[in-house]
Amino acid sequence: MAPLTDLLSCSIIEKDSNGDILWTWSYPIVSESQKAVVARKCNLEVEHNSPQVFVFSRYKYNWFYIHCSEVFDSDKLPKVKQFALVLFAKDFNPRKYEVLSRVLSKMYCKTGKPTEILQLYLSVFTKGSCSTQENGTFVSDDFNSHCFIISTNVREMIKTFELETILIYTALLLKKRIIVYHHSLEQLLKWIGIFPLLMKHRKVTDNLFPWIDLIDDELAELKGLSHYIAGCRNSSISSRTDLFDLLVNIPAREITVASHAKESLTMTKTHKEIALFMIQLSENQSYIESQIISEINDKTQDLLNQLKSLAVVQGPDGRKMVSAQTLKEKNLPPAVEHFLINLAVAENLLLL
Amino acid sequence: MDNLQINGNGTVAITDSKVKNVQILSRSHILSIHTAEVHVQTNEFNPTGMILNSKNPTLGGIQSDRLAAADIVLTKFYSAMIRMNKKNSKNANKATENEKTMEADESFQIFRHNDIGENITNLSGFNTNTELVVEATVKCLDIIKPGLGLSTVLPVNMAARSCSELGYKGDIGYQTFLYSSEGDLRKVFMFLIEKLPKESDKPLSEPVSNVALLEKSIATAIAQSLAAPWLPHYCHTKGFRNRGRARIPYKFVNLEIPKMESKEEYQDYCIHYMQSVPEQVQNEPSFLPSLISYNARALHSHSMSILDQINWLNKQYCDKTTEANMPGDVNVLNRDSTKNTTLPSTQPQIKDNGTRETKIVDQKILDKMEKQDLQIEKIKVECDSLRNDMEKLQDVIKNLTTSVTQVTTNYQNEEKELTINEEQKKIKARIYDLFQDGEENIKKLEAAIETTTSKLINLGNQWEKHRVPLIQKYRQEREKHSTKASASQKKLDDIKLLKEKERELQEECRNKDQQYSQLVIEVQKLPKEVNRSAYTQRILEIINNIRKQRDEINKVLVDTREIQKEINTLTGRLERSFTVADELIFRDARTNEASRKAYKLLATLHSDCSELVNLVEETGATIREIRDLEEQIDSEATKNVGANLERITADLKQMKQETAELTAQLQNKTS
Repeated sequence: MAPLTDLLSCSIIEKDSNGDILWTWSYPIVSESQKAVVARKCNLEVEHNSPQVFVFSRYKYNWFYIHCSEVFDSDKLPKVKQFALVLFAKDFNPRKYEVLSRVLSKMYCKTGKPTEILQLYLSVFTKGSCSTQENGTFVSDDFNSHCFIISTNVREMIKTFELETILIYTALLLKKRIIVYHHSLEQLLKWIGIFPLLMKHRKVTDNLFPWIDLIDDELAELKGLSHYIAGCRNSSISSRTDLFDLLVNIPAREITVASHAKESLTMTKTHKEIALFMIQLSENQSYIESQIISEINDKTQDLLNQLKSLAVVQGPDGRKMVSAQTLKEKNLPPAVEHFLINLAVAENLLLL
Repeated sequence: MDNLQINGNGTVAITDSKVKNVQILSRSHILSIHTAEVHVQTNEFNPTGMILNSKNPTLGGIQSDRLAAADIVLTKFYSAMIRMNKKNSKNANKATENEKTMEADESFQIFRHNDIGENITNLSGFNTNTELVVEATVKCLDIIKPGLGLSTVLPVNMAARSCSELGYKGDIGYQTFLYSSEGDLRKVFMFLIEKLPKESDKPLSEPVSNVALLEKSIATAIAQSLAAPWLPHYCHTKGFRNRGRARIPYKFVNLEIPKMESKEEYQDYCIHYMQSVPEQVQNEPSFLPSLISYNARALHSHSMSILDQINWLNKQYCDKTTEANMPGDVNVLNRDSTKNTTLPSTQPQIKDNGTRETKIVDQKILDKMEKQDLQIEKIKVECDSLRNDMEKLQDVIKNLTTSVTQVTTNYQNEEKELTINEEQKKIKARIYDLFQDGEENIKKLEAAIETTTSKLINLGNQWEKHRVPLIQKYRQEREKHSTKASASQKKLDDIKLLKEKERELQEECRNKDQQYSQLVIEVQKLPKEVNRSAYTQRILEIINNIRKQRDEINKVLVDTREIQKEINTLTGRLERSFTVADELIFRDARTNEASRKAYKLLATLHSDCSELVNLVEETGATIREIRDLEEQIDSEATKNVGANLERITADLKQMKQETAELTAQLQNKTS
């Protein structure tokens, strides 16, 4: 059992009967800036607890997972109405941390002692597992082997956007800036998890921002990146064309390409092929979710192999690289040439 | 009134009730009625007061003869003012003439007789003469706003409009002038005279001395000539602007004059073939211009020969082309333009100087042009190559920028990798250190972990001991605070309410203060010298009078009532005695013939008497009615309806006549 050293910190935020929100306990340390972000996202300020119990997002390079719980009279927490358990971790694995945070929250509800949580936390940190009498055991390795991190539904995505799914696919492939909009946080977090699966060969999660607010420091973080996938609940995001190349409006089933990105997202014959392929996949009921994902991935690999076959020039580090000159010499249609160059840039295969 | 005098210090004096003559002793304007003092009989009052009084005659208790006097002042004032105005304009027109005072006085006499007839002594006299009213108004307006240019005869609607534009508040229209009433006219003239420009507004325009007169005449002359539109010199057939100009057009011929040159052929040509100067000039008027231009050319050519000139021009051009070595259309154009300018300028020179050198020059020009073409070609080629270079360079720049971004990303990635690797390296080095006896070390490590976790938990527990009470305390305090806060919030709200109330009260107080101060001012405005007790006494007297009158009325009423009662009793008695007599006589009438006759007589007597009574009552009623009607007639008569009606009907008749005439004319025209 490998220890779960990706864990960074654990803290408890309590909302008491006075309506105050207090960071009552944390281990080992939570920085002020982290506190600010979490306080914004933890939903405790709302009078009635939001239906969303588990929330995850990221702050800089770390991920945080918030698990909110109502406190009942039977619990050993006097004067506390709600509390949120916040976990900071290096990796993105919502299912794993959902289970862990649930276990920890239940423990805290039952005992009302942070030391119990500390014990469990340390056990997970050092041994990779913890066991409680009532809430069962948590083994972190169980979640590492799973091929999909959260329950996803690529099929639904393809069915929702039909042929336009190719826009999402291309934008991901070419490392564009994508904003996903849904007014409901639950739905947003569910949908945002699908996007990395379309690009399995890359670590898309490095540039995944499940939930951003239109607040300056978060936007500044976004603007510092050349490409990202960000979720947003604020409908006014649609007017911020400086933030995205592609806007996926889920409730409206609409995909908007920003005018400045239209040129780079020109569709070619290859795109049409892939789009039709994806629709066929989604219509074929015999495929299960993981099969659809792997099929799409295979298609991507085909495409990349095609590109690599064009890579004839030796790069400075010995790798085979694609040169713009060779692409030009191929006499391809301009749209295709453009796409291939962009793809080579995105895959870091272009030699000039 | 005998005399209305307007004295030098600006006072107007009316010395007698009959106005015969108006003298204006001062030559400066006495247009300001505000400053003038008007003497009516022995009482002194200023016109503004007069205006006030005439507006509310009941208040001031001014009598009608006083009003009439004010009217006279107004009319005479007006006529005097008109005269002044006319004189002013006359002065302006004849600024150069030294006008004598006597002349002016004479002209006054003339104007006076023309302006207002002697029989008109007050404004009611104006009433009958509509033209006069309109003329008076228009002239007033002309002085207030010079340059309106209203016609002094009908229609009068324009004058009315101008009056209301000036700010006249009353109702004014053509009817005010056409069917005027005395009161309205008085108001209008009061208003206009108030608006007349004051003495201080007008500068003194009287010429004092001969020098001033001269200056003035010069100023007018200059102003006149400045006002005239500009014309080119040849359009001036006369006037000072054209003085010293020749009327001959400047036409010149290029003269050829022999030079001291060594060439035999040229000298031969000069001797044998060259025409004399007068012969070269075809017409006489162009002789002088030709000479002048030849002279000018000789002066400004710096004794350059034509070849030198051409060389100089070419050098000029070459300089420009060397300057214009940069590619670009602008320079090409520049070159073209220089070429265009140089060539025509050289050509006339060539023609001027005979035909011999033209061929050589032409050859040279052709050579130059060829050279230029060659150069242009060269530059074009250069341009193209430069453009190509630029494009190439831009491509290179693009490539380089993309590669820069690529390299930076690569660098960043590698940096990251490096840090990770370094960390791993440290860990691995440590692991290798411990690897030698792994099992034991692992156990040791596990134990260490175990101890640290237990230590941490211990620490955590200890921390709990401090943390829990602190948090509890915080919450308790917080609760207290919140209750306090809510209480204080309540108090704050109360304070706010109170403050609002206070503000309201302050506002009210301020309003009241304002009212008070206003009232105080009003009180101060009220005449202070008025004796309150006198007023009250008068009021009391009046009340007493009224009481007495009421008593008398009551007495009369009682009397009439008594009389009425008496009449009633008398009629009752009469009736009764009549019935008694009637019965008596009727009884006897069957037997006695005389009593029958008596009865008949009685009956007629009775009926006649009752008729008489009725008649008396009716006459009373009619007398009352007549009295009522007379009152009504009186009230109507004051409204001056009859005259107006007559005039309106007369006007109507005239209009009908005119329309009939016009229709007749129209029919005539159409037929």
